Amino acid sequence: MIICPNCKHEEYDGTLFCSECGVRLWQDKQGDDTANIGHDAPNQTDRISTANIEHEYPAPPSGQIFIRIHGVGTSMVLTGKAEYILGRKDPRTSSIPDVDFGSFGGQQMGVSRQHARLKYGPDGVSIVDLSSTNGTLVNGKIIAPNEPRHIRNGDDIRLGKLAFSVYFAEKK
Amino acid sequence: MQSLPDYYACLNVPRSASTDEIRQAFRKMARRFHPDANADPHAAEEFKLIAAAHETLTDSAHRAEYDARLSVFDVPFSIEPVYSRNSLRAMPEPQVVYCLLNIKTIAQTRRIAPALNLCLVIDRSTSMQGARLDHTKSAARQIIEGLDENDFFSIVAFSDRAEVIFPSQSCDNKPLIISKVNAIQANGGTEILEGLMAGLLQLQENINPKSINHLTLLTDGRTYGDEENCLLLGTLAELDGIVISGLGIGDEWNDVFLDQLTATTGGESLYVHTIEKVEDLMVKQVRGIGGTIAQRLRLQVTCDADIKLRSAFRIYPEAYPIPVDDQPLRIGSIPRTGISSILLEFVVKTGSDPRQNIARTSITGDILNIGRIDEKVTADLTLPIGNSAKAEPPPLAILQAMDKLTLYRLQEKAWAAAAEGKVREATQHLEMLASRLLTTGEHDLAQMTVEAASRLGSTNQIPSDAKKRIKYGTRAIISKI
Ligand SMILES: [Zn+2]
Repeated sequence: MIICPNCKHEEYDGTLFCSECGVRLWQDKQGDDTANIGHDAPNQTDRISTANIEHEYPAPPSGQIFIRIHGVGTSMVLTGKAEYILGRKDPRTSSIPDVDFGSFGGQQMGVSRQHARLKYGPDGVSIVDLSSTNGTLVNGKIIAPNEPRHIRNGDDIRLGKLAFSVYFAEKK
Repeated sequence: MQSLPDYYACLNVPRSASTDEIRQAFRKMARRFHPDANADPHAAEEFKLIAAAHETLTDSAHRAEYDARLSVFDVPFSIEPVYSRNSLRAMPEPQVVYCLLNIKTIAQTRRIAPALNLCLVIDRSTSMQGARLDHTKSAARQIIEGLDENDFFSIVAFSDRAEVIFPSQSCDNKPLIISKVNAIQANGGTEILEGLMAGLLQLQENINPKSINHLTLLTDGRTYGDEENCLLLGTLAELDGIVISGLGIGDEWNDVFLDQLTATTGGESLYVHTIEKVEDLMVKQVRGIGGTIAQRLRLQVTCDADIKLRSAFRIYPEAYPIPVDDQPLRIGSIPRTGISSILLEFVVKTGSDPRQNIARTSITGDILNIGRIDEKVTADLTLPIGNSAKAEPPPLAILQAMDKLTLYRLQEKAWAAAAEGKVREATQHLEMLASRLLTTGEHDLAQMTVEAASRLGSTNQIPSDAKKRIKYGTRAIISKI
């Protein structure tokens, strides 16, 4: 089986394009250089390059962060703040995070109400897991809670099972 | 290279003919060409050839020897497979391999322009009134003008019932046919079965296996309750060597039904989204039909053990999905260019042999430019089981085909989800399709897809005009390769 890097749909070995989202699943020579999850991810997704996704989404203007949620083709633009809380809205309390994954199946996919915080500072972007129930993964590796972790343009983030890519200009 | 006389063509029997069929064919031909019965100076020569054919083909040892020589000298067409990978992996899990079958006719010096036996079946229901009917009539006139005097032509108009506007005959009096076309008036509902039946009966009047027997159905409506019978007629038409193609106008007609109907005969269906295009589309279609080199191609895919044919798609000339549950697959015609391409997708479980047989493919068809019917050619699909670390990138032809085909499949998924009421899933698929279309350079279609997604999202209704445009638009991209 191979797993689509974009939507995590499973396909038989030898499949050329994801049947769910249409992203190509084969690797060519240029793809090897720009693959950015290969060296970190020990699972099967490391066989697949995410290069084409990056090409489709060049870094946005400085100060903005693009979030592209895997499997739904939806992008969000975060702008105007230095910090963003990622999580999902809780209908019982009035707490609303800056980025609400509730309408993207956040609850079923294990996103906590206050799951993680994205910070865009002068030296780049970092993410902190806010002691979430299901953890935060950067490029397939779980990160320690409450410890800021520097991330790079195009990195693959997972909150529980919900996956998205983050795009930004490296220098603010 | 000296070519071998084609004894099968001489006797007008398929290469698979039994000894009895050959004897019977010989008696028939002998009656026509025996010098005692036929004074034509070439008859004696022809008779000699027929006698030699009979002598060789009724002796099993001689026939086998002849067949072997014939297969070297004179193969009317060939199957050239291209695979998505150069080897399979040895593993218990299923794996996918795509195979592009390029079907090529082999150039022949002896070329016969096949005669056309064409019937236009035109919807004249009330909704056709005005521009739709006017443009359709104008298209019909242009088609008639372009016909050869030896072609057979007929035209049927239908609403709740069918009327033969001009019965099947050679077109030596074009002004008469045109005056009949001009008199067609719009009135009534849409019962495709009526029109189809009348059109097929007209074609039967002058049917000839060596001609191009073609019915073009044009409709702007939906037929109710007679779809099953229409499909049955399609199956019968296919047996008689008739190809049905379809043109749908506007957004009322049933694209799924028209696709099914034309697919039973290996024909294609087209979408006329703006009525001003109908002349172009119809004239081009008929011109394409006239240039047919081979027709009624049927592809038998016999899979080896543990292998499944998952899908089939015609890539060239016109792209359309081919249903795989009904073998042999109707794969249409080979146009003037002499080539047709079919993409097959197999799910393979490898066995223990170092070489994995995937399937045997046989194509049967009528090669019109050399006047032969039911010719058959066979090719085995097979790949070695090898080391995946050394895997080559997939060939460009397959990548391009799959890339474009993926666009078509995304919209199919979207509409299927929408039909099940899964609006969010459907709009997501449409959004993905739109971004893929943008990167392909299809800006207009991408824009339309974005709009369709937002209309679907806000109204929970499938926008039927956009649906057809996106469906036929993504299909057209495939054949652009
Ligand atoms: Zn995918």
